Amino acid sequence: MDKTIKKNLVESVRDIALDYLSEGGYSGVLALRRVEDHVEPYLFTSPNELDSLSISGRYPIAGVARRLFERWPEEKLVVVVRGCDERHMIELAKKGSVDLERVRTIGIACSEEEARACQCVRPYPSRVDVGESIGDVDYLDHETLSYLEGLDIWDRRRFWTEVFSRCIKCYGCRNTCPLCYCDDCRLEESRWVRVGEIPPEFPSFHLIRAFHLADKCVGCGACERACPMGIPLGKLHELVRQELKKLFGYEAGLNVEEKSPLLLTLDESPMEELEQ
Amino acid sequence: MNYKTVMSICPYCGCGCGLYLEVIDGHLAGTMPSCTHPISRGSLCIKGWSAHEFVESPDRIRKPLWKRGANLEVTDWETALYHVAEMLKMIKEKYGPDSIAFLSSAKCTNEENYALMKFARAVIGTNNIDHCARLCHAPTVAGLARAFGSGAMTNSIPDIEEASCILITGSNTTENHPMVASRIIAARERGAKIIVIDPRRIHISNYADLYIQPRLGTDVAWINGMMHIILKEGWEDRDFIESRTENFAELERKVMEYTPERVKEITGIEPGLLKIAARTYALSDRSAIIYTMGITEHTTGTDNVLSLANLAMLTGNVGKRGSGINPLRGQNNVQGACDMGALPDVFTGYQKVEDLESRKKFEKAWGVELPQKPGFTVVDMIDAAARGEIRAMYIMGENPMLSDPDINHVKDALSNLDLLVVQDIFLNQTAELATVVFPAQSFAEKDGTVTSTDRRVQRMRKAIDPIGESHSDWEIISNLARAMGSDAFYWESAGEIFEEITSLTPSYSGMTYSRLEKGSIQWPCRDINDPGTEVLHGGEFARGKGLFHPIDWKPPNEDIDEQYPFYLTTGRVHFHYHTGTMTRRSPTLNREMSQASVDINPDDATRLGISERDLVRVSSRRGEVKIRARITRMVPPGTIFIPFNFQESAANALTNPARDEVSKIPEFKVCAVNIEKVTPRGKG
Amino acid sequence: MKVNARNMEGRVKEASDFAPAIAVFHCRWCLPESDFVRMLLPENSRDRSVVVKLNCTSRMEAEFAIKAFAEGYDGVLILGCEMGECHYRTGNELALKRFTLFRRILELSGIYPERLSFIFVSPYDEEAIRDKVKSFVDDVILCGPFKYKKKWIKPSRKT
Repeated sequence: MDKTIKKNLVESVRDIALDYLSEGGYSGVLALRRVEDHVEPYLFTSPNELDSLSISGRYPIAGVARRLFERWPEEKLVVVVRGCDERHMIELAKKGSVDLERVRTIGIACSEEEARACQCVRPYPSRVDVGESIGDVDYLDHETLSYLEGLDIWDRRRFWTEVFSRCIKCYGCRNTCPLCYCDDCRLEESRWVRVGEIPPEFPSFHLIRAFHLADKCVGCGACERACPMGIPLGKLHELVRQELKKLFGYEAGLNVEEKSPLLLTLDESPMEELEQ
Repeated sequence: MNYKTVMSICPYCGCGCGLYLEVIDGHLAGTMPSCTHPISRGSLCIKGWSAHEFVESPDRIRKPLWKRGANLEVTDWETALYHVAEMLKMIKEKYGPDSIAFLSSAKCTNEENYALMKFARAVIGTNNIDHCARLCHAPTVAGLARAFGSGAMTNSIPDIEEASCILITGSNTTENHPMVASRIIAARERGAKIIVIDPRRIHISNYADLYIQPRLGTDVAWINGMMHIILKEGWEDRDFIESRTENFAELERKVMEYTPERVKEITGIEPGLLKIAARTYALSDRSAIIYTMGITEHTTGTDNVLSLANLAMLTGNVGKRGSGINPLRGQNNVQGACDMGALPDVFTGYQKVEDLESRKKFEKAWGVELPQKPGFTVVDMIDAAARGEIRAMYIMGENPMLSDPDINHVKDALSNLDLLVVQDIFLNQTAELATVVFPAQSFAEKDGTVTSTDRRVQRMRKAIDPIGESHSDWEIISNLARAMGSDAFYWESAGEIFEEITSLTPSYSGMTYSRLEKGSIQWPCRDINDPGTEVLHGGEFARGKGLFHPIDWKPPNEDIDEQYPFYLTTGRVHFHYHTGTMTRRSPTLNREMSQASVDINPDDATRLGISERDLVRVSSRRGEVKIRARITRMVPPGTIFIPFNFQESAANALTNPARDEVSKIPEFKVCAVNIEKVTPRGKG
Repeated sequence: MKVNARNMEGRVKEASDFAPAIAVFHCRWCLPESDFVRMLLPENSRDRSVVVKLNCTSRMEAEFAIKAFAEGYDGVLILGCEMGECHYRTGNELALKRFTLFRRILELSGIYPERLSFIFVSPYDEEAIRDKVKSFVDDVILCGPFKYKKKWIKPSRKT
C-alpha cells in the first residue's frame, strides 16, 4: 500500500481517537501500538500516547474488548475496528458479553490488498470512518473450496483425517477466536475429548468446535492463521457458513437483532431443505 | 482500566517464540502470539499459550528461607545473605575454593548466567560451574566444535522451510519443538522429502516419506552405513570435500568397513531402506539434519554428533540455506548459558580457561586472578559431593533431584553437603534439601536477554512487579558478592551487565540493547553494523576447513540380560516441561496430563498380562518406580518408554549414570529394566 | 443413497455378518421405556448398542454423537416426538434444525450422513417405528463399520 495513503489513514484514526479522549467519559481507546519493530494491542488512555497508534497488523481486538468488559462492565470503550472486528462485536453483543451502548467504534475499511490477503468478502465495517470501502468483494479461495466440495466422501475423509492428524492440540484456534470464550469449554472436558493425546482424536476436537461455532463464525480467518501446523481450518468453517446460509438463510455478524436459527423454532426461521 | 501487552519470549523450549504477555491492572491475564515475530508467526503451542499461568501461583516463594533444625523457616534478606556469605568464606578458607560448586540455569537470562559465572570465578576462585546443557547438548558443543569450529546450530529455524530434504533423527519434533515442526510441515507442502530415523514411532513419523526404525544406541552404525552407500554409488560432493574439508581419506577407510549387511546386523535396518534414505539425502539440493536428545544422550553422544557432521560434510550440505546440522536446544536459554561460559572449561564465547590470552583478558576486566584448572561437570559434581570433596553447592534455577540420572545417588550427595543454597521460584525437590533458599523472579518480572536455539539473541521484558520479596537472580548474586567484599559487582541494571558481556565476547560484540529493541540478532555479530548471521560456515568453517572424524560404533553401556530383559528409553512429553516445576502448576497443562504412564508394546503387554492403566513396577539396578501402563505401538517390542517429568514416577530413579568420555553426558536413552504387574489387593 | 463399491471400511463378506453398534438417544415422552427401545434394534445389535434416555430431543448435543462415533459406534439414532407433539412445545423443532446442520457437517468431513438419523415417533404405532428403525439399521450396514484409522493414510500431494 502506498505509504502516504497509509500515513493519512493512521493520522485520521489518531485524530478521531484524540477527539474521543478529549471528550471524556471513555476509559480509553483500544487499538494497536507500534513499538520499534512490532505492533501490540494496547489501551490508550492519554492523548500524548496516541503518536504510537498504528493500524497495520491483525490481532483479535474484539476478544480483548470482551475481556475488558468482563472485568469492568460499567465502563465505556472506544475500539478501532475493521469489518471483521465489528462483526465479532455484534456477535458478542448477541450473547450479552458486550453492551454495544457502551462501545464507540472507529471503523476502518480494508484495502484491496488486505482483503485479498484475508480472503474476505466484506472488508468494511457498517460505518466507515477512515478509508474508502471497496464494497462487497469475493476473495475466497474458491479453488480449494470447490476442490473440497467436489471430492467424494472417501477422499474427503482421507483429506480431513490427514490434516487433523497434524494437530498438536495447542488450542490456538480456540484461544485466538474472539467468539470462543466459554468458561467450561467442551474441548477441555475429558468426557468429550480424550486428554493428553497428540493428535487429539478425530472427529471429536475439531468437529465439536466446528459445530459450536457454526452460527457464530464470521469468517475472519484468525483460527487458520493461529494454527502452527497449517491446517486449513478457515476452509472448514467457511463450508459450514455456506451450509448455514443454504439451510437457514443466516449469516453471522450482520445484525445484532437477528437471532441464530439454531435457537429459534421452525416458523421463525424457515428451513430450505429438510433431509431425513 | 489498565491494559497493556508486553513483548517477551516464551520461557519454555528453545524455539524462542515471541509472545505478548497481557497485563490487566498489574496482573497477568493471558498470552498472545506475535504475528510479526520470525519464529512464532502468529502461532504458539499449548505451553506458550499457558506461559502466564504459573507466574502468580500461590506456591511462589515470597521470602528467603533458612533451614533451622529440620524445616525451612522464613527469614529476611539481610540475615540470609550474611549467613551465606559467611559460610562460603569459611568453607573456602577451610577446604579451598574448589570445594564449592555452582549450577547455573538455562532458564535464567544471559546476564544472570554471566553474573553467576563471574561470581564463581572472580569471588570464589573456582571453575566448578556447569548447567543442564551437560545433560542434553554437551556432545553437540564438544562435537561440532571439533568438526566445524563452532558448536551451535548452523542454520536458522525460518530457513528450514527452504530445505528439499529433511532428515530427522532422535527428535520428537512435533511434541518438543512445535515451531520447528511447523516449518517441517510447510517444507513438506512445498515438496520436500522427510526422512525420520527413530527407534520410536513418534508423531512426526506419520509425515515421513521414509520412516526407519533402528535399534536403540546404534546411530554411528547406520550413519556410517549411509556414508558407505553414498561413497559406493558416487553420490558425495567431491568439490566440497576437496576444497573445504580435511582428513577425508581416514574417514573413507573407516566407512568402508560398514557394509549394508554389517549395518543390518547391528541396527536391524534393511539395506534397501538405507539406500533410499542415502540417495534422498545425498542427491537433494538442500538437505538438513535435525536432531536432539536421541543422538546426544548416549555414552557415544559425541561420536554420534561427529558422525552426523561427517555425513553433512560428505554431501556438501553445510553453509547454505535450508541445509546444515540443526541441533534443537531444549531450554529457552541453554544456548545463552553456554555462550555466557557457565561451563567448567570456558569463559564467555567459548574462550578456554586454560588459554593464557583469554585468562589475561578476563583478569584485566575483572581485576582479580582467575583459576586455571577446568572444573567439575554436573554428574562429576554430584559424585564429588558424595565423596566429600565438594562441601558447598549453589544451585540457581535447576532441579538435579529430578533431572540427573540415578536420583537416589543425587539425594545422598546433596544431603552430604555442609551448605546448599538454592535460588528458585518454586520449592522444587532440590530446594527442599537446601540450607538457604533465595526467592527469584520469573521471566515476567525482569529484564534481560535470552538466546534461542538458532543463536537468536532476544529481549525478555518485565511485565509485572516482582512477587513478594523476590529479586532477580543477578541482583541476588551482586548483593552476595558485595557482602563477600568484591567490588566488581556494581551494576544498576541488566543493560549494564549486557554491555560488560559484549565487551568481552567477540561473537556478541556488535549487540546493544537499543539494537535488540528493533529485533532479534543472531550471533556472530561482530560490530555495530553487522546484522547478525543466519547461516554459519558460509564461505569457510569457523576452524578453516571442516574436519572428518572416523568413528567406530560402540554398544551402549548397559545391555539387557536375564534379570533385566527390557530396554528403557526416557524422554519428554508435549504437555509438560522438564521437571514440571512450572508446568505442573499451570492448570491448562496439568489438566491435559496429570500423571506419567509407561509406554509398553502390545505384544509385550499381552505376554506379561498387562492391560491399559494397570499399575506396574519397573525396576533397574539403580532403583524402582511404580507407574501406570499405556499400551501403544509407538515403542518396538522389548523396549519401554517413561517420560522423566513426573516426580512420583521419576524415570531417573532407573537411569544409568554412565557417561560419555568427552562430553560427560549421562546415558539417559538406554538402560536395562524389568517390568512386572503390581497385583492389586482386593478389587482393582 | 450415495454409497458405492468402496463402502466397506472393514472386511465384511456379507451384510448379515455385520451387526452394527448403534447409539440410540430417545425422548422419554414418546418412548418411556429404554428396554422397549432396545428391543426395536435387530437381535445381534442389541448387546453392542447403548440406549440413552433424554428428557427431550433438544437435549441432544453434537458432542454426544461425535463421542459415539469416536468410541466406535457405527450409527447414531435419535427418536423423538412428531412435530406438534413435543412435551415442551418446540424442543423437537430445535433438535431437528441442529440435527440437519450437523448431518451436513458430518458429510463435509467425510462421514456418511446416513449414519445419523432422526426418526419421528408416534407412540401408538409400533409397527411403523419398527419399520423405520430397521430401515435405518440397514443403511448403517451398507455404510459398513465405522473405523477411524489411527494410522494416517498418506495422501497424494496437491501440487
